[in-house]
Amino acid sequence: MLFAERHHKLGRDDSLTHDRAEDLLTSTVFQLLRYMPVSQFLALLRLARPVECKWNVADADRIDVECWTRLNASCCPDVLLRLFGGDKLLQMVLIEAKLFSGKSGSAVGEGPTKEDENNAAELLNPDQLVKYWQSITKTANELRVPRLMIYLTSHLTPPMKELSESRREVKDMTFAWLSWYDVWLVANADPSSLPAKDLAEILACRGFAHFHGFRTKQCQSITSSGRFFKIGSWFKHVKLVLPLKHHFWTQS
Amino acid sequence: MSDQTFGQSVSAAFEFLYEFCGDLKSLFETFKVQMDGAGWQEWYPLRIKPDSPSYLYFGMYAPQTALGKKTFTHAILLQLQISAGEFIEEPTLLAAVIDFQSATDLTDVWNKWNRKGGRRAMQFALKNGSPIALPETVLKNRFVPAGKRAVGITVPVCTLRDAADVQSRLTKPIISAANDLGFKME
Repeated sequence: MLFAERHHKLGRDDSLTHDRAEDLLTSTVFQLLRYMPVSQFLALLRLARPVECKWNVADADRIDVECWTRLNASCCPDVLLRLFGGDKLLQMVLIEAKLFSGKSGSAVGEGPTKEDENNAAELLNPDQLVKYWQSITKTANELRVPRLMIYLTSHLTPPMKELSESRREVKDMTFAWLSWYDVWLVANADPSSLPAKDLAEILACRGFAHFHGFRTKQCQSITSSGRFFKIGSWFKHVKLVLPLKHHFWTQS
Repeated sequence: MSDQTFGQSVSAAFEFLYEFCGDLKSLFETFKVQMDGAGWQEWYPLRIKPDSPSYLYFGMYAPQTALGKKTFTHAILLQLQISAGEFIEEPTLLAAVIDFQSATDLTDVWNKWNRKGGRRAMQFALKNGSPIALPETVLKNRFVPAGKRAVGITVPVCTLRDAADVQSRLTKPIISAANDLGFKME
């Protein structure tokens, strides 16, 4: 996967592999995060910007990562993290990751999606974040474990419109926004770790690196003559045949 | 000395330019994040497209506010000159903090902003090397006629090393200049 990304095998604009690109990036990133120290993983979760709520990430010593866990018939969030302290489950964190698309099934101004219709009996909110939040609530309550929700996107700054829509739907949802650039920040902070180095590189290949200097400091000088096309000889071989009379057209 | 042909040198030069503009784009993305953290939002983005480089870029920031608001008392204008000219020898950024002293439509400010006016402001600010008040004559001369007071900062962008350097040499001085000109977060 890393090498495919390095070589832009999915195309620079992912025009043909839109959905696949999002899933591949999510899978690669969270796979690599698993190999990194828990402290770095926690640092990333703590970088998330809470949306009008308190944001406390538990001091875990182990984080289990699951991708595309089915919570119910229509809910399959991208990532589910379980934070443990010893054997005790301390917290559950749901992550919905986006690359270029916005969240699906907006609660504002859109009807339910086909998926929602199929799941009408469960009466879940059409807003994707809210729907996932509601889906994890039952499990989290049974286990008496606090839960958090993260919306991970490629924006540089918080997508306020989308976040506000979800916030309006559920007032007590503990959710925050995180950027792929934040993942790069955390990965880039530890150049001694190989997984972190790979993660930083893969995100940089995708354009999610913050500025870290100009890569090439010298441009090769052009030493040959600057002219490769000469003008001037074009017309000398052209013979103009002019009419004999001075006036070659007459006004009627 | 390289034994590349002229054509190969030209291709290499273009590759260099694309890469440089890619890094430049990344620099201004980092700046955008830092400005966002300080309460300022991109009003007109500085559109750097690595595959189609330009010699000149413009951008504008306004205080973060409710969506749809068009008038502001303060703005930050960015003019990035890539090509060397009569008074600059390398890519140079002018950041000018403007105090309008009353709510002003930024679309109008954008439309009246002429690149030559911006160059004059850049030339004036370059003399100092640190944030400097721009005189009214510079402001009114096809730069920001609606501005009442302004502070200009110039930075040779190729000397910026990383995000921390952008923060200390660009973002912080601009925010500080805005505060000195009476800007207060709503």
